[in-house]
Amino acid sequence: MNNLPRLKEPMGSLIERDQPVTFTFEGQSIMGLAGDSIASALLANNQWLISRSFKYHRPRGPLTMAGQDANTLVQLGGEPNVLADNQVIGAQMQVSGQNYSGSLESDRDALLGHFSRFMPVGFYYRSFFKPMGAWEKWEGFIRKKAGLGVLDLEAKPEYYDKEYLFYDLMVVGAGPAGLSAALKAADAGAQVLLVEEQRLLGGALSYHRFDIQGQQATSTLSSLVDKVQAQQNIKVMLSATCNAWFTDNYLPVIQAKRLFKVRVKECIVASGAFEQHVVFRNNDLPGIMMCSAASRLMKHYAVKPGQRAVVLTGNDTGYLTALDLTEQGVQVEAVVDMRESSVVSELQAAMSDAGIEVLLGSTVYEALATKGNKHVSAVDVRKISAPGEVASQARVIDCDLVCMSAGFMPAYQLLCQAGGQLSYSDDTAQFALSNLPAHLHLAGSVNGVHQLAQVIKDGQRAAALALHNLSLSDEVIEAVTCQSNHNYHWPIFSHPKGKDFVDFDEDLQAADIVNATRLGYRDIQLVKRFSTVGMGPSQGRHSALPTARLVAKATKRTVTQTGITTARPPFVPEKLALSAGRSFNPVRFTSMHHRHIALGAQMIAAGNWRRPAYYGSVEQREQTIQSEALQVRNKVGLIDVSTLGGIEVRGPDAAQFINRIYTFAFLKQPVGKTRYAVLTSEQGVVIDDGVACRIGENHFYVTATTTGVDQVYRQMLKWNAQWRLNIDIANVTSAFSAVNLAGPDARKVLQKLDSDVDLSIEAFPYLAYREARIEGIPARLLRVGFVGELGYEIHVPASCGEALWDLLMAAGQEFDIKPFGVESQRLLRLEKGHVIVGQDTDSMSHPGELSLNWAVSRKKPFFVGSRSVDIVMAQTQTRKLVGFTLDASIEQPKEGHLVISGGDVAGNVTSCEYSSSVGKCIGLAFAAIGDSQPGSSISIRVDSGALVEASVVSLPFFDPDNQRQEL
Amino acid sequence: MTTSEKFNDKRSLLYRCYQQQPAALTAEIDPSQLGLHDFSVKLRYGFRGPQAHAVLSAAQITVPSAANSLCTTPSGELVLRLSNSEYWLLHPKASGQQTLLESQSTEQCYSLFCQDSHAWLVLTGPNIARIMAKLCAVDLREIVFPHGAIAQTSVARVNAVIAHHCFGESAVFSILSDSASASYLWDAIQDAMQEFKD
Repeated sequence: MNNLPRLKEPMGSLIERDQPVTFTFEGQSIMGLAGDSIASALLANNQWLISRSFKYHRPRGPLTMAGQDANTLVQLGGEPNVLADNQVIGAQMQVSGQNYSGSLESDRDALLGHFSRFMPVGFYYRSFFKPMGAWEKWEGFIRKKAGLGVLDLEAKPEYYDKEYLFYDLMVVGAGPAGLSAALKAADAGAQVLLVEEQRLLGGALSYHRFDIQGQQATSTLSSLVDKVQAQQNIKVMLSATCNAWFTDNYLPVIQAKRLFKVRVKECIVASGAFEQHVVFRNNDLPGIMMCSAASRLMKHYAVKPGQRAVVLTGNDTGYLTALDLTEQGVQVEAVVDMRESSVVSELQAAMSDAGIEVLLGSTVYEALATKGNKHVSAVDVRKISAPGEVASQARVIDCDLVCMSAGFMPAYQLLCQAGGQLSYSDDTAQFALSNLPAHLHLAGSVNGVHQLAQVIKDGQRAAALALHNLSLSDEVIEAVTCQSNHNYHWPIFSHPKGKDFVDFDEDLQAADIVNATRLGYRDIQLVKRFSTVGMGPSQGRHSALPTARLVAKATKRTVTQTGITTARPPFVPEKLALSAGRSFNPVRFTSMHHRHIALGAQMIAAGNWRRPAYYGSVEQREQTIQSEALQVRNKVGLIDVSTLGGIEVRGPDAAQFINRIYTFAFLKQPVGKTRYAVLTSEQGVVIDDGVACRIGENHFYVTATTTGVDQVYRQMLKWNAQWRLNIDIANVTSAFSAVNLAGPDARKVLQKLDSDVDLSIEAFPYLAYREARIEGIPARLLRVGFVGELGYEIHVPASCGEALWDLLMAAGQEFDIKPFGVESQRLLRLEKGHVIVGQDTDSMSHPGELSLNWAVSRKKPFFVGSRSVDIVMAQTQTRKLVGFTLDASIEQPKEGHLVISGGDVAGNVTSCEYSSSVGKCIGLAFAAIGDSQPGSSISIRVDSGALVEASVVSLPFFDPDNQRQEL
Repeated sequence: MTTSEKFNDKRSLLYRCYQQQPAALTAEIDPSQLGLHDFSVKLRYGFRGPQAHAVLSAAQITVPSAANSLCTTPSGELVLRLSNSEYWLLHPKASGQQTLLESQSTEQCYSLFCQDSHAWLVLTGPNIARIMAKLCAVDLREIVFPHGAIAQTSVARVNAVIAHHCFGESAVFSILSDSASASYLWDAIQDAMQEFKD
């Protein structure tokens, strides 16, 4: 590569001249300087072709040098669509162009441009859907051609995170308006966050020439920046983008790999304005750029943008750019001013002094290109005969650089997201924003103020408004007026041969927009959706205004009437990694968790808890579950049930409350006893179950399902907010650890430990509740039988849970105690026909369907859902949860498999396992009421599609007289 | 057989988290330095109910005048008022000798179970508000969340009580959060602290 010499200082404010950095572009080594963007380094090496356009694969080079367009999207290693004019170079970076077939220099798909007339706007909507089946043939080809860049499917996630920030005031944009606003607010005592998208403070002050002498910007910038840096109340964030505005000034700011969620009381948007391009044929050639882009190249990177330039302008900015170019040794062949007159005499004199020819009332009608459209080589300049029309006489001016400025469009996106209305004056071609919400202000060129002194004053005015709202000042500064008019009213010069681009992102030409209106899409939003204008990465920053103008003209309306396409978040493309960020996924572990891990448990999620499914290898899953279940049936097993919900209800009205909440009767429940508790919703549906322990006359301890306890707790709080009973309700789930010691030898194991409770069957019978100390650990003991064996649920303070586990495992050693997991427990309870709410029930299951009539008290006047339970149970039932068995040799049904009756779906399987104890497959299923009696059979459609016949049997499957749990 | 004495020193659900960081639970922590400390085994009580205020007053314990604020007793205990009728007493210097079943309720003053239901973490150092800003949506800067303030909110999507108080001369945050989620929260806070460690 040809590394061109850089311009002398003070050009190059962003680069370190003594720090060369080498990277590769398209496999070739490129040497830039530290601080260079990829684009500036490439241009410094005379590499103008950076990427290819989306549709026609046209060569593209930098347009804005500010990351505001899609021309410089490149592939950076495994990351596609990196903005080359924003991305700072790093050593060993591997950069390549995008969207080409073959090579960037020689793209085979560039031929598509020759067939552009066969690919009019929306052609793919209309071309590929017929004849029938055509889309299937086209889809692969179109998908291959669509999309930019290459995703690295092997990419490893990087660390992205989020942070909240809180300030009194956030100022978006650190140009002269933003700097002055921040300073004024901070001086008055406000805590200010100043967010700037670029890498340096100053905005236009850092590159734009505000006066003929070229002094004003430098001195103002230095003064403002020094003050900002000395002001302790201002926090500056550079290379940070405020990517949206949300209600109440909730502002996401992206900086590097962090998404800041900013909350501020006041917000001032001083986001500036986007320079607009002129629409003429071949206006996309490399070497054609905005005036501001050329200025940035010189001022920020000390890169000379060309040797021979033509400046095409509709305002005074172009003249000032011409002066900058001249000072840096660029031969300015002409300033082509679309205006017929109104150029101030000082500028005319300056042009004359610099020897620059000025062509008034003229435009570039066509740019001529070097071979392969790789660079601009000349321009065809013509007199403007009418808006959008030119004279036939052409003057060709050789050049390698065209700088253009049709005007400025306010960076309105955040403000419109906030509900601001953008209005356009058809007379002056100026925009204005109104209808902003309270506590949101705007300042500077986004407010239509362009003259430097006025811009600074406008920033101070906005700050005064914010300070007033913050009660930090009563000062009122009057609205600032600006006489400067930067916008040329019709900078669109359609060419019969096209390639007069309105939207560079989507390769949309002027005729495409007009044709969309001829197809009936008169509304600007419909034009957008049909043509995709403004839907590319630059989101209409440059295409919105010319599109509105073209639609207005084509539909014989004004721009004010057509409006502008809607701006929605995000402002710039945002990586999904930023939104995902560092995600928080809380997990809960029981106090015995590490014991399970040490014992080789396979952990599964139960809500946000982690529970042991079984203890052993995945390969041995089925055998392990059967073995664990048999261990409980034959000896003794220990399961961690700490995840069970626990709720304390205390107070004089505790029994009354429990009696109202649950379906059973609890008023006369004896102290020291447990009772099964079913909770129904107001619709009469069973939504949870558990065990209510009466610890004292006014004290209940109620268990709930692992995933249901939060809902139960909320329900309890909600109901008692109405009932106003004299109780306290506390969710103590995490406070207790619990185990279920179950099996014929459970009592023997517990008796090995030092405790102050009589464990004999007479003193501590089935369904009793006792409190005790086990080896000094205070414990609540419940004799319940979920798995149908002699068993003790032992609840202890969570801090003692691990110790309890150790004690029981040690005490059980001589009885060959083994831990068992959730899967084994599910099998064991299935053998007993116990339902799991949520698994064996659904959103329609009432107590009658589940054969829980015995758990519903008919004697008490009320419980939550009682009226609905009465109604639904009085209706003719259509289904019932039944137990079924199958021979083990038959294909085993799975949960969810359908039960078919008479060709219709009668229900579904809710649980099904092979039971070693029973010697069959056993399960629960909703069956048609006519098939629900023991002795009936039900048809279940299994995975293979076959219908298997299962026998309906009485529950439970095992130990039908429930003798084992009462041992 | 293990004797009951062993269990007088109950285990924090977090104790494995700082096995590699022995400084985390030393008594001589320096609250001016960045650190996350597990106080879960330190003694704490919670009481709630219409008579809770009266019970505490009878015990000569001064309580904060408003909900979501705290005060410190002369002996260094923290008295947190979480609602009009809910109070937590935190003893930074005493290990928990009492279990939840032993802090018995009285009529209209119900003991809570914060010794076991909640882990107690103490975040120290100069950047505690910024660290928490990576985990929590509440503005915890001293200017709006001064000493004595309490926020009941979500930290890394886990419910938590954040109390801003002094520990020696330094301002710290006590974070009381679901004990079952404690190791998750410990890791989340450690991760948030990482950039301030260098």
